Amino acid sequence: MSETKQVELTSKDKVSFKVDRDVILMSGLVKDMLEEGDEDETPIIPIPNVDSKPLQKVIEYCQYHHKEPAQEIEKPLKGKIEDVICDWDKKFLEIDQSLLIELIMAANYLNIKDLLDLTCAKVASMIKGKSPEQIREMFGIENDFTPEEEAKIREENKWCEEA
Amino acid sequence: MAQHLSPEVLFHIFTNFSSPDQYLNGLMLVCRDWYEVTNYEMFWLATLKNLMKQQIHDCKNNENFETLIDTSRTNMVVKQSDIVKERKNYLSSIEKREKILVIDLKPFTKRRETNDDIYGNSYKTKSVQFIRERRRRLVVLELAQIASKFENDIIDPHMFQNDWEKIINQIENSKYYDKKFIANLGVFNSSTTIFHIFLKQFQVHFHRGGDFDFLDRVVSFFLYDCELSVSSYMEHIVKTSGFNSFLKVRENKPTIFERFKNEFYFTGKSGVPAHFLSCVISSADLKDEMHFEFIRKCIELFKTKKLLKFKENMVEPYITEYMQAIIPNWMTMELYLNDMNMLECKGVNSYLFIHELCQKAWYLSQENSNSIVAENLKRANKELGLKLDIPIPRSVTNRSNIEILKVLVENGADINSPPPTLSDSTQSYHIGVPLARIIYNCYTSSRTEEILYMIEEGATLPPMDTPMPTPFYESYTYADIFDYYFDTEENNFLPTLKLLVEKFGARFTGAVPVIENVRYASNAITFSGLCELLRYLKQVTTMNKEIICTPLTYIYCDWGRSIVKDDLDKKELFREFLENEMDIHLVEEIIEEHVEVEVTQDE
Repeated sequence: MSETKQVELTSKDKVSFKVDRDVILMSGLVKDMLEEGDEDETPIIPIPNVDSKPLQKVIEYCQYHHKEPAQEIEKPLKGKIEDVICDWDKKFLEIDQSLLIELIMAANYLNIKDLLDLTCAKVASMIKGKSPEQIREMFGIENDFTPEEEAKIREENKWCEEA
Repeated sequence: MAQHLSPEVLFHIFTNFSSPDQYLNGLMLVCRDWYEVTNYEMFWLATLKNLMKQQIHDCKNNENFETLIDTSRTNMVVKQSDIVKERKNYLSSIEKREKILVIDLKPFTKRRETNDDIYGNSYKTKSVQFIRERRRRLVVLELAQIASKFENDIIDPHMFQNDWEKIINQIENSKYYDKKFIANLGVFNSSTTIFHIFLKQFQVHFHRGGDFDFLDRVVSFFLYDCELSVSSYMEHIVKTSGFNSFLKVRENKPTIFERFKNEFYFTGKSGVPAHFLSCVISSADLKDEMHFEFIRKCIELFKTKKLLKFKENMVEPYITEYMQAIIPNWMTMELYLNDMNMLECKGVNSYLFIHELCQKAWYLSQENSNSIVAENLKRANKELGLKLDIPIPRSVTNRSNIEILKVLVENGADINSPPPTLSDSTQSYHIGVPLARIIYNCYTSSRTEEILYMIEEGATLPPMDTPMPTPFYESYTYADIFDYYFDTEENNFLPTLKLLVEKFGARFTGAVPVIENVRYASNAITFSGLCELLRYLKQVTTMNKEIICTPLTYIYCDWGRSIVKDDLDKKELFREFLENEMDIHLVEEIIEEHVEVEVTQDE
């Protein structure tokens, strides 16, 4: 019986994770890098843009969905995210906002489409039906428009409100 | 924290999981970074691409709409075929635009060719156009869906009203558009609005039996609250027969007719379709004074527009429709002859007018309808110049019409002239057709009074060997016309038959048809009357005893049916009379069969 080939990922904060090669091939970035290297060795791949905490979540996601392919999420999202994803994904998304954002960035960097869709859909679900003020409050965003600029944008997009 | 989301990620979230509504009305106002994302040309390209992709997918999956339509019903206003056709056109239009904008990226190519700035607003503009168009479409489709519900269920007035109340409520409370805008939107095609659908449904499902108060409420909503143009809906309202809405006085508002009048003055060449008046008259209740008031106002209005050429365009081409709608009451006669001057139109003459009028005499549903028509004819002759010196119309000879017949004859109608439909080279052969027709139609009712009147006034019959024109069978001649004469009144029948024979000769195929008439008559004959008839027939017809014995045997068998009660005991006297005086012997086999049947029935 042949031994499963592995890959070692090193996070921004220098934590290493050994992952099955087949599992981490879900990442477009890792896949491209592995195609360039020697298959016989256990390659060490640095992931300099991702901390260990989100990287661990990424690996967790890949390990599960490597066996259970993710379902496509409806676009645009008509209702709540919870209504369109599986129980495992629901539990997976039970994380705080800062980790969610880091996970989105990681998925984007590592080019894991299904994870990016899942996490982006979560954010879309969170901001759905919210006013600009509520969204700012939710994500701690500062309103950097002057009242004049805001009025101008509203005026420019007046026709959009009719839409 | 969210500021850590890169523009690329925001782009992904917005274009994939948010709706354009969200970023147009909220997300772009969160902060500068978010606003910037919504300003990329590629952002709008992605938006448009997703919008089109989604809509194409929805269209190909039928949008869950026409599955509600029951295709087995034939009188649906909201038809599955209309829905499918509209969707097909819409889909084809999106696919064309998708090819130009998303696949071929024409705006970019064009800008490159003209060395314009690569960044522009094309895709944002197109996206907004697309969203608007889609929303307009969805708004009207939703309304049409409600309107189709009752048609698919039970054609019930309450359900109809409930559904239309819902539609009105939805139009009034739309969060996207004002009611005027929605009311003007095309449903399935640009020329059909939701109000058209209402009027059509009312016309198809509740014609002349609907709740006209509800009709008026909806008409008022669309024409006053939604400010739709009256002219565009006049014909459709007319077809519902909701005439009362036109002249109804509404507080501080002009009536619908007044609005129509104003719009009419400002329209181009004619203002209304040429068939409009015929549509009004066909849909009106020509016994209702308010309907007449409306019709008169319309005629008055149309006559003011010289370019319209009232007579040539609105009356002459639709004579058939007007004649079909004619009612023999004074108001209609005055309308046709005075307001519309119909006798001045090509193809119309007094004969045609009177013929159609008498044809409809039954419509009055009154016992004295013939007298009313007769009086109206006299009055029209005096007051409106209607000529009565015409050939006797077919409609008069076909049905019992003594009063009308007298009025026509007294006013110069030619009693012997064939109707104009026969006035070709063979006309001379058909002199006397009116009396022949009256005799031929004796089966409908007693016509003896008319026959006697006609004879008194000098009526004749065509020569015996003349072939009968239609509607008689062509192979028939007038040689057997008296076969058809009968009167259930015994006192009228034989004297008149004798008079006819005396005047015009014995026009029978034989005695059998006359005896058959007696046998099947609803009224009973006296024993003496029957004997007298047989004696007379023996004189004037070739009485074939071997044939006549059969109907006479049946009369004998069914004695109680054919003979008056007082003579029921004279059954055997009848047999004796036949054997001794007429030398006719009853058919014993028939008598025996009849007795057997009677015995069986008694048992």
